[in-house]
Amino acid sequence: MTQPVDLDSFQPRSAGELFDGIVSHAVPIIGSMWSQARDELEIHFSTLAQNSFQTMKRLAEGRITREKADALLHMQELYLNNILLYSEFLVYDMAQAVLDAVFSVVKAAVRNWTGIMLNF
Amino acid sequence: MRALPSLAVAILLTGCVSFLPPHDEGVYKKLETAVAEIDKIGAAVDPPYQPQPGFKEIEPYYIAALASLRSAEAATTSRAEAYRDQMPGRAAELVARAIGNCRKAVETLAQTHRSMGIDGDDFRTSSVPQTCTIPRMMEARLKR
Repeated sequence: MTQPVDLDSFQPRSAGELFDGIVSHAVPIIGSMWSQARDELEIHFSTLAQNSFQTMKRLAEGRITREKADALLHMQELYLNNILLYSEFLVYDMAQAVLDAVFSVVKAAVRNWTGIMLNF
Repeated sequence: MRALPSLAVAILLTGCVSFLPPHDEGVYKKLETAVAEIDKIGAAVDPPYQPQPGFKEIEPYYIAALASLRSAEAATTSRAEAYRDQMPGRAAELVARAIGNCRKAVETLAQTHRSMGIDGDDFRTSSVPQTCTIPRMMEARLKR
């Protein structure tokens, strides 16, 4: 992939050049945020699996009562629910980062050609 | 070159566009408090001596955590309601629901602790610290 264009001097002469500039900034963001998000979620799923397994084991070995296992499993369910909510949230977080990057490239192009710094 | 002025106009017309609601520092601080109180519960049920403190002595940490969580839940629920039909609506709803799940998890832990007693293994496998860290991370990510 191309290196991100230098926003201080970026003066695209065509829509195509502007597009290439946008892509050079947006793609690395998606790449790095996506792998970070995936790693974070993997840790959560792994922790949840360990905790659920521990509970099953302790119940099977008679170290905890059925009542307690019920309570623990219920709390693990709430954890799973939050992991899923978080995974959806991360998609919006990524979309926002891309949106912000795209408009920073467009704003830079406008500023470098017209001298006007738009604020929106 | 000629396309750029019309592009500038188009940008001005679209205005501010966002998938995320604004960050609320008050909510973030309350979630930090809740996680800190939960950590104290974890330390209290796994002390370096026996026997562990009774529920009555640990109860204040539960109350403090729940107070912060209820307040944060109310604030984020209002925020989600305010943005309901706009682009940030879904993300706002996700944060509010995550806080709700954390609150329920703390309530369940409190009830379990009070009726059956809990030890360090129970606390860790309950996953309550992780369940409550997630909404805090969401709120942190809203800072732009």
